[in-house]
Amino acid sequence: MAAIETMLATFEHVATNPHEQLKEHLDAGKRVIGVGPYYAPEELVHAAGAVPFGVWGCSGTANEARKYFPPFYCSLCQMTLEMGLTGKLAGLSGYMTTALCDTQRAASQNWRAGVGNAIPLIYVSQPQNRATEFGRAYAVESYRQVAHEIEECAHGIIDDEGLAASIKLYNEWRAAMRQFVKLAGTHPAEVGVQARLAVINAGYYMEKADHLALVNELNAALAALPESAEGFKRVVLSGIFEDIPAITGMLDELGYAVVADDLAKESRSFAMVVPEDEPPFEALADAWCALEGDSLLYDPEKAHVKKVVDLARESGAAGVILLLAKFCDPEEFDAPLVKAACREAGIPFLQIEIDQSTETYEQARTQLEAFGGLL
Amino acid sequence: MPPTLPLLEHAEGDLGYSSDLCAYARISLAYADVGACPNGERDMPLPDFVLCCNNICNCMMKWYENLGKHLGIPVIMIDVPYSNDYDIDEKRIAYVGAQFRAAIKQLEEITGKTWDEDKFQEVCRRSSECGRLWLEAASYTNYKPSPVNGFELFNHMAVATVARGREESVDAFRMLIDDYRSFVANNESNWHAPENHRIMFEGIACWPYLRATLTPLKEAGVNTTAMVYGPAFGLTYRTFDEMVEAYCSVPNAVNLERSVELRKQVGAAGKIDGGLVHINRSCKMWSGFAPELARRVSADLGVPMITFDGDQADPRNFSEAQYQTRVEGLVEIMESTGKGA
Repeated sequence: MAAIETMLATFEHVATNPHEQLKEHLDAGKRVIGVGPYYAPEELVHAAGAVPFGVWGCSGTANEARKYFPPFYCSLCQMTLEMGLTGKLAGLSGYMTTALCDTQRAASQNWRAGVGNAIPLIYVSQPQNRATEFGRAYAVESYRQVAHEIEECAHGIIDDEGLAASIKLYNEWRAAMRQFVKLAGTHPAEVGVQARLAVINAGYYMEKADHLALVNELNAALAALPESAEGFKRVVLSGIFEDIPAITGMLDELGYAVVADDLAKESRSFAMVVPEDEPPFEALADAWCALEGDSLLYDPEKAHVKKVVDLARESGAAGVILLLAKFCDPEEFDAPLVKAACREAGIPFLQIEIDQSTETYEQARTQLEAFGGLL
Repeated sequence: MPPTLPLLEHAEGDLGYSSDLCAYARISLAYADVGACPNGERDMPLPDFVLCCNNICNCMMKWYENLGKHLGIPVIMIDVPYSNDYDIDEKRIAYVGAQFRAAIKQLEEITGKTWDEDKFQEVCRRSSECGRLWLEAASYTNYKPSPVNGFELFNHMAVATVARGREESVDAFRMLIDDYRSFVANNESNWHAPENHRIMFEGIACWPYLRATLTPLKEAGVNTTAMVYGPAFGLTYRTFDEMVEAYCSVPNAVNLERSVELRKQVGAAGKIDGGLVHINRSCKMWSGFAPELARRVSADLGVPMITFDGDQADPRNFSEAQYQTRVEGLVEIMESTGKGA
């Protein structure tokens, strides 16, 4: 247990001190490239010899970004732009992002307008018609173009051999993260909600190989312990992200355990499996095309809705909490359907609106207390 | 009560959608559920399938997914990835073109009908002619003084939006052009007010408040002689690839620099003295870089651009008083800088 606590302290330190990590990378002479939402081909950055560094906004108030965005835009994009405009991302050699929603589309243009050449934008265009040959061909071509932009920013060349090695590492890392999510769900006494989040967030700032080694060690230690979920309120978290300290603090305080998640920043990001037996660019495209059950993707069968219900059933969760990112169109379109599906399946459901710029969540406390009573 | 309000309330109440979502989508999803117009207007038949293109916004994709699911009907998706580059590249043309071809197969399967290439060519020819005529009609606002009340384009654009492929639309736009030509020839105008200033109206119209958005302009002698929204539906092309490129090049699908250039072109042609920019609560795509776009157009054309808050379809998100103040502010700046007649 002491070893687990030590490991968790390391993750916690990294997760709460991203700038220290950034400085370490830069001091080591590495080039660092920011990677924003969602599901960008991070392996390309790794293969170019640069360090991918997660940029998903931060808690705070958008001031400079308000010169570019009207107020009714998701805080994640607003705060990311705010960070870029106020020098908080100084040291990055590029910022890679995708455009899976309208806010991201606009954010890419605002980034170029406001941050400009100080941190060049690496724009990743991905096809939504994924289950087709032409969608795959578009993704392959798009990733090849992105690779050139990454090479420019990283001052490195991406060759097939190096990219294949990066894909292998990332597949291992994603598998370890999927395992960690399961183990954290069965061992909430050892890994609380905030500690679980710290393990995941640290992966956005550390070198992947270093993070993988630590996660593997943690997983082994947890697997050796008996399960500890008895007495916890077991829930699935759905949404884009959970890292609002007030919310995760309340979840811990009120005895919640996250037994599975459907968060874009967490399990949805680890869902991808890239084939290792085909040329690497085609493999990355195939992995993208194979993604499904996600509010951010074209999903005519609404597999995402069913996935949330299935996750709750398979993980033994007593309820689903949707952390609805304010002004997030894709999530807001799915939310009523997810709610209805949970109700139909007899799974208690709670929706809490979150935003990186909201300062108080006292109403959420009342909601979580009442929901806990239901479970 | 504004006619759309009951449907908006149904979407937010019974269906549980957030009021932050696009009001077009909320109204459409509510209508799909209710199946009737609440204010006694003529009902529309519900669809057997939906054909979705996200070139104007990605909100379309989620909206049509939900329509398809709710009504239990197929969705045909034409995905047009947003372009961060000025020009539309070959991989987009290939991808979007392949989707059009796939959509033909889906349509054949859904409808049980066989694709008629000759008919398609004929409709393309007519649509393109219609687009060309619509652009020509809209260009009459460029005359100074304008023979046209620019807000009229918000009415006429309906034909270009929903009926480009029909012969009657071609006839209608020819008649419109004839009218405008005769206005010019006779030094007349259907703008029945002084034309002290000429402006660009940037963004989608506030449809529930067309009169309320026009009246303060009319009272101040401000005619709208430039806009991107209406003419955007004037798509012209000669070949299949050009058609694909046209659909990839609509205003919301192109990058900031191209968006600015488009406004500068219509603004210069319309000889504008200023602009009103609609910060449209419903449209995250259009409003998302509108402040920067307005700054650049203002700087490059040397005219003031003023923003106002509104909504394309939710009447609760527009304040007549605020709009009036913004228009007064714009007029004051245009007059203080000597802009205008």
